Amino acid sequence: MARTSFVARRILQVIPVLFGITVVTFFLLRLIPGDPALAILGEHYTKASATQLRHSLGLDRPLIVQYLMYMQHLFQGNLGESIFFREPARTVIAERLPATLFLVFYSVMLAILISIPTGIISALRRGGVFDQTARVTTLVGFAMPGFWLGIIFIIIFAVHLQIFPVNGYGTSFWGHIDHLFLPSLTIAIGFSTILIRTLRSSTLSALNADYVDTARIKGISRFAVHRRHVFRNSVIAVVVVFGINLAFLIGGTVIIENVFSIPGVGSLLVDSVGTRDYPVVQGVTLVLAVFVVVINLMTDLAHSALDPRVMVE
Amino acid sequence: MSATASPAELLYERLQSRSHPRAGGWARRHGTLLVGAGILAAIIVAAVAAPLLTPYNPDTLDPLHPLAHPLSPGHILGTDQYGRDILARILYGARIDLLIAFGATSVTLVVGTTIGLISGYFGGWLDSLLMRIVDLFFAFPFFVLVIAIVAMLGPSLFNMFIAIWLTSWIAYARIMRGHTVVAKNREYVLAAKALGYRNHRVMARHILPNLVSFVLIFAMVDAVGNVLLGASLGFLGLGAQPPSPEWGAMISDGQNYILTSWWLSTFPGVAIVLVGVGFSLLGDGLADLLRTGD
Repeated sequence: MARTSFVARRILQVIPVLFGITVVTFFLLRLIPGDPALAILGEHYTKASATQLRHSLGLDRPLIVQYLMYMQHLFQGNLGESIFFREPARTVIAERLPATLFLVFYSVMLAILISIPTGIISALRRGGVFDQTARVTTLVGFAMPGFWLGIIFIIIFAVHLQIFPVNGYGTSFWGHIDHLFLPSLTIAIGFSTILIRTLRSSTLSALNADYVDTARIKGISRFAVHRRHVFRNSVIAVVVVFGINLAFLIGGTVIIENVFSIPGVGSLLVDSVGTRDYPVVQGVTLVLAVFVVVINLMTDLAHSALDPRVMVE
Repeated sequence: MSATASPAELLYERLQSRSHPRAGGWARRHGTLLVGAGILAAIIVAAVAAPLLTPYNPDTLDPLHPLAHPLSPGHILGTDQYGRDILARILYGARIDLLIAFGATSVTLVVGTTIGLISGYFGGWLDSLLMRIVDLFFAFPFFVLVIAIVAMLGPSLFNMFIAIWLTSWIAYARIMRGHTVVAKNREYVLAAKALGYRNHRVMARHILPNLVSFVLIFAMVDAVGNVLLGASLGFLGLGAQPPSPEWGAMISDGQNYILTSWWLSTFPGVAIVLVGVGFSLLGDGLADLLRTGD
């Protein structure tokens, strides 16, 4: 019962945020200095084409009408017309979305594979050589630009050792796995620096908890106590941190797609800045923001399933 | 007692209470802080004194010596495709990347802290509105939003600053607001109010000094983020524009030559890592200092 109402309440909370996101993406276009028609048309500017463009973008209407039109289009799944591709922005973005999603999930998997063992071993062997090494590595890793690390990986693993492809996306599932390994690893390393720190400290506090002592006094083996009591609690912390940092992960994806020439929405976003394809920039921003909100909702629900105390709040 | 003390007083008290005030003791316990401050100081000095440290101009082309290897005569870190000295470009580039770190962080620190303080202190509809805005901005992937704003304004270093200023104050406002809501019901604030002090005095002289350490520590983390953000935008061609020796732009420049000349992209990245580690250590050390002082 409490669970149903928690889930319902949490889903309802998303609605104003989604509404706010549309307001922000709507006002993005208004940031263009001067006449947007001039900025978009550039050297193709003529009075007639400008008037027509202003009309098709709805710029000749009052602001509130423009917003309502924008919302109406969104409900119809219409993100506007790409200026560069001369296709609906929705089509352009939908074509690029699978590569980005693949990259995001692949990175998350690798980040979990890296950080869970590292964080837990660091906590169990606190102050040891492994722990010290991990701490220095995460410190440096946190300050390391992902795009630079990606280039270093290309130099070492693609150019010199020739183990992985230099760039691209591949054509089959295994092709994606192969092509996206280095980019995903790059993103995963940046993300792991945060996850490892959290896991280490949450494991340490779980290890010092009274219930762990109680379990040990009851005669349960150290391994069983760690598995059943310590790790469960430390993994909950990872779920929370994951939700908080998802937006950060998406940002990393945008830049890494550009380093490895992956045809995802991130490289589309940056290309569209160059081609002044404002509707696509607006559309990608909206899609990624909605994606973050939805995944955050899912991590919150997962968190409440793992740790029912959350629902009380 | 300690609740009314400012961070500086806490530090002072802590130093007083040391049983063995021997030289080096403090330095050993706060090695993190000192190393971080040392790294940053060295980079700042290098940036300011760049003309004294290298005979080269960062923008002077030398068509006779393109892509010289590191440790070549006269070019410790080699040259790029136009024969420009890499070390000179990194030293002069430090001016831009440090400007990004300090320029972006300081403005958002001041604005965000002020907004958070006012919002938390007065509460009411202003606070509700503000927190909804904060929630909204947190829903956006920060980097994507910054790119989108730069896209609309047009790529340039200054527009990048505007994009960061528009979006980054949010985190400071949230931190400051959270602490202010708690602090405003503490005895020292109630006492100050009971003495009849005006709101702005209570906020500026009583609440702010007690809470400023939280936002300052966060500012160090934020500075790392801003250096990475500035370099990332430079790399994507959306921040500092060529031929500016901004480190991210240099890495991007060198990316076309990674098959043959690895040093073009590698060394500017090392510089970014150094600045980032400097700020991280400074932040960790500062946090330690204030925590142990509490």
